Amino acid sequence: MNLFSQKKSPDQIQSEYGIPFIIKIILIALPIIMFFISFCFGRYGISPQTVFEILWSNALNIKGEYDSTDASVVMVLRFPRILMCMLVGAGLSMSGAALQGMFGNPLVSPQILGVSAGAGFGAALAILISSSVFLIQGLAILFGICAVALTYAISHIKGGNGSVYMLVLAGVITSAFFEALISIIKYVADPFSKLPTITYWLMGSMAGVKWYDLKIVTPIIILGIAGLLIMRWRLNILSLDDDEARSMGINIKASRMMVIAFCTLITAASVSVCGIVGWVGLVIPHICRIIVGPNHKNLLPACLSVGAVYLLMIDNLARSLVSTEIPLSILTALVGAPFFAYLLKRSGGQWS
Amino acid sequence: MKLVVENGSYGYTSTTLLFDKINFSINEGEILAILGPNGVGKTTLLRCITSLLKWRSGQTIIDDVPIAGKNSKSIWGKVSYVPQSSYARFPYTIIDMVLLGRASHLKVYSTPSGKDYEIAMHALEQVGIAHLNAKKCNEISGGEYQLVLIARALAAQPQLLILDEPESHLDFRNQMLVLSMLEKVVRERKLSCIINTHYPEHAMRLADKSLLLGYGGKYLFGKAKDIITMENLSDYFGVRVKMMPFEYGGRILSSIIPLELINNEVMAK
Repeated sequence: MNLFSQKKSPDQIQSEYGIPFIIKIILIALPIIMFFISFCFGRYGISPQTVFEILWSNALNIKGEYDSTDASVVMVLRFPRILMCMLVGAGLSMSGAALQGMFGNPLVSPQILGVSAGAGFGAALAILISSSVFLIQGLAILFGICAVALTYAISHIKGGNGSVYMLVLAGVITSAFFEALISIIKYVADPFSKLPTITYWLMGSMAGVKWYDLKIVTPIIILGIAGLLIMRWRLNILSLDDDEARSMGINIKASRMMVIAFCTLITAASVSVCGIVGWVGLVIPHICRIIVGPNHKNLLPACLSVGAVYLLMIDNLARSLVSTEIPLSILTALVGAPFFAYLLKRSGGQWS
Repeated sequence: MKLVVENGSYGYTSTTLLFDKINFSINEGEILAILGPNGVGKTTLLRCITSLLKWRSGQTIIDDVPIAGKNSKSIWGKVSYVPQSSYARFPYTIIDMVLLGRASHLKVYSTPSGKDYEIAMHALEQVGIAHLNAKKCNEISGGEYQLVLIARALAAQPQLLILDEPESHLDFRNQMLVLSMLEKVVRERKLSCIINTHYPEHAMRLADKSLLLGYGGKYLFGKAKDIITMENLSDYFGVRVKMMPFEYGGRILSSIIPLELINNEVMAK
């Protein structure tokens, strides 16, 4: 009767159902390789040897033989940008996967709860009244959180029980509201100085990312990522029907709120630094489901890796394709949309 | 485990009650079948029993302790619920699906350990589908999926198993498969069991006790063979019924045939 457990130890059984070893190696190695390669991309070409030498001597704090312009491009311009890309790509992909799981809907992305619109409004407002980076980041994060709080409150108004359908509808309402506010700001903004800045900024770009930008948002995004990783297995339960999930003995309301909170932190912090980057949180989870299957225990780590690599690739394109930078949202959509269409053709609309 | 419902009342609005001071109980190792026409509140009753819905008045008592106010983890550590079959939104593998049943035993933010995998596999073995463990939920038949849901419930190592129409949408063979597996595990694990069903024959076959629900809060509760009679079924379902008992395999089974509507009008709720 008990054939299975006689043959293998519990740990062996467990490891059999994890991510296959080779895929695991690739998922770990790829972001590391991509990280180093990305230093070479850009209008200003730097050879891999030089990059390696600069990184090496800076890490060990020794003097190396390289051009100081090369050094500042690598250390001042590209390093923070690369880190930011990886953080945002990983964070948005994981948020997308978590929310798609929770809502049981393949079209969900981190924007669904209104956080991007809210954060976008906060940033636009800050650009309108000042040009302080601190204010832009602060207001973006603040309004991103306010927007989700509003969504949550609307989903609980009389008769609403905070079910996922109510949340989605409330998110639509909040997004529309904040998008209208963004339009007002654009409408009143000075068309020669402020309006282009706001418009360009909302399309998303990593171009201006400096080390001090990372100081505020890095801990926030890492907190969100860690939170989602810890909850990754529970997401499987949250993806079930309400009664089914509750009968597993977990507090689904609290768990849901935590997932929403982590996703909100990640998305608001991302928008606060690099504007609204669409499509990453929508497409990457679908790609990862094909690679590791729908179990969120494996899916979220895979999204962490693939999301980081994907946004790095997109950003490398953004700064090398033409002489001026291409906004990220344009590229993520131009690359993402056809790819998504291809995925649909492959899967016929089924979840992997 | 012993479960008692004491004066349970519930209605979605306060004026029309689905149940009005309903009383019933089951003892350890007993199977209770709940019968009743559509819309009479069978699923609602299960939700009230397990505190997924709050009784308007009255209470559920498990092993002499009222469950109202107890935290959900302590209830679902003892009670497992198999809801009406709805396909999983994601094509999780069978073993992943069954593992979810371990949640009530895991710390809030941990993932299943090797021990949990072993328990899940054992549950799959017990319902006879261990060989399907690596398949996806959308690659198996409806009957097999129902067995997966039962295995998931068993993985929680409950003392009381509650099932909502586990055999409703299945064909003859799969109905027999699910029912016989269910009977086997309930007897093997000495579980108490509550099952909603549309089939009086199944209730006759499985149940020690039966609860017959009717519109307007009326109900009958007692030994299955005393409750499931031609008169009661005719009365509660509004259909003239013929029962023909016979012996098979050492027990009394019965074929139950609906003959005609008693009133030719649609029954008022």
